[in-house]
Amino acid sequence: MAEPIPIETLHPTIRMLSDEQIQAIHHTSLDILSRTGIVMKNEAGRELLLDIGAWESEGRIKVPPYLVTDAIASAPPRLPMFNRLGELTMPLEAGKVFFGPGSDCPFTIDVNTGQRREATAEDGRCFAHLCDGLGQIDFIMSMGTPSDVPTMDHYLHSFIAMIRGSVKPNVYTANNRQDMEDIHRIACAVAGSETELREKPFLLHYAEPISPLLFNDESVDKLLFCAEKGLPVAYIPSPNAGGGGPITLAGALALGNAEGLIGLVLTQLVRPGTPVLYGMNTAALDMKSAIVSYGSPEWPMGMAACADLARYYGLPVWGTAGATDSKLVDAQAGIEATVTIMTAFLTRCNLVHDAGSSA
Amino acid sequence: MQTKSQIVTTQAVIASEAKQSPSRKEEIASSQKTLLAMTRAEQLPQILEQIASNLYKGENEAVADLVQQALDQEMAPADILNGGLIAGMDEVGKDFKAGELFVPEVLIAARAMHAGMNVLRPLLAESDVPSAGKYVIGTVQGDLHDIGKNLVKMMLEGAGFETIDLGTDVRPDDFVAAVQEHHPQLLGMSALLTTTMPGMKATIEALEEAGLRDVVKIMIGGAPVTAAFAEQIGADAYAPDAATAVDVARSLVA
Repeated sequence: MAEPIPIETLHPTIRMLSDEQIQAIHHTSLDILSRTGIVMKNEAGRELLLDIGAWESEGRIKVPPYLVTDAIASAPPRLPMFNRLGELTMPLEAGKVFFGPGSDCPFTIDVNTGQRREATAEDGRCFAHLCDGLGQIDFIMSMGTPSDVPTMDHYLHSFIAMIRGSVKPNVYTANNRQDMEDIHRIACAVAGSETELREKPFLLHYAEPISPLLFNDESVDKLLFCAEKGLPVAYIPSPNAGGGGPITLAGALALGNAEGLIGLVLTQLVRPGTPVLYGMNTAALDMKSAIVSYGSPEWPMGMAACADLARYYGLPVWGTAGATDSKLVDAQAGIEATVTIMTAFLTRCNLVHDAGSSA
Repeated sequence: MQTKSQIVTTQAVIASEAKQSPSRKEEIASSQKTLLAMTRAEQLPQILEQIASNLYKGENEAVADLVQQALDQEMAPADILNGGLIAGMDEVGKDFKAGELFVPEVLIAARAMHAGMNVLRPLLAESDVPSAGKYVIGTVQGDLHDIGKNLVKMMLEGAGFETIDLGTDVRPDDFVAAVQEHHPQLLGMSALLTTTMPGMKATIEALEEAGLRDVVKIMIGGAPVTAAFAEQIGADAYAPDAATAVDVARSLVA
């Protein structure tokens, strides 16, 4: 974390939503879950919901509001993350902001030649090592998808590269439960034992449902694995406005919130108290190029609104900043990174990823 | 939250649309009058041009009416399809690729295309008009993302291809079965995830095993997919976007 400024009187923050607007989005999300319902492709996830009071109609699972309220109450408001030396370096809790890179970019800009090329496993280690030495960077993500390892093993190699390159806490991605088991085995070996890993977790899993309201088998399976092991997890929907989500920001927020709350419900049903990082990636789909725009104004606005929702729920929150639509390190990249980093800081997003990513 | 200036802008837009829309109707009505005044031989290319230009603007009702008028004047359904509807969608595709039209405009144009096709389809089936080609399309196994795939499908239909959409999470065997059943000239696969891209290779291998690799041209696409990957797995072509997919599909069946 950046060194705190030693001024006790000035702690500026920004809010996007009024209390009434937060309530309106919350209630819309509850309506989406109980009236429209979700499509759940994971059998265990389906049974968990149906056993506790959700019901099925027209091929969709309808989730009543009280399940969501219970889950919010049972999820921990703080998520302490440790480095591999056992030090509490990243307490994800109200008012604390931590920054780090993103993950899973197929390409990178070669640091020696300046040319765009496919990323390698060695790049992953070098990125982690660089981040390890940067004082403003608090956690590691893999940045590049290694192209020089067997495709189905690339998440595993990304995790290994992060471990080899840095002692800072990391956020990792995985393909399926098999990957999760392999990564968990490695993490237990690194920590010393499964108990030591539980007590001082240095890793947080990132998974996503598919907006709108589609919960694919693998992502739910990975989420449930983390809950079974009691390990930190972020289940982050990406309801990009006009693509997977409604064109209005309020609509996209209500949808993303509904999807994120299902992740919360599932983890708390498996193990009450499972540490969950709340959040969503709410961007606009650029109608000209059909890409999800990281530099669009909707991104920081959606992030700020999401931070307001997290504060209302009393949950630690995920953020996105320092990323750009530009393919070069140019003025556009500078402006987009600045706006998003400022927003993340002023809204007090706790774990802020994607510094250095280019859409 | 709407600021005052946004509200003013919105009102201005609504006002200008209100002004515009009667004049649009007049425009259509007057051009229809001009049509009636002309001899039949003169009318034909004009009405096709009108179908194309209304389709471009997304005027679905006008397109349906004009197609019906063309039929009433005993134009061949195939001429209406090629000279009117497909010609219009070609313009849309061209301008979309050039960055002059955006996704919503393409969707509105495609809706107008469908409105015209609904009038034309029963007659096309009767008259046995050959389509531009038969195209089996799907998102590969393990992948449930379909926005890009649907966009490609829509553009292909706009270009007169007959599409068979297998949906998402399509197993290699199901692609093989679809090729056996429908005898398409083209097979298109989509993937959004680096971990589902191997499903494209597995599908090509399944087609080889079934002895069907040479009867169909294979195209692939999706955010992480590259031309180099297409070459590596033995696909015939790669397209970076929906408009290019149409060009590539046409070149493969030419």
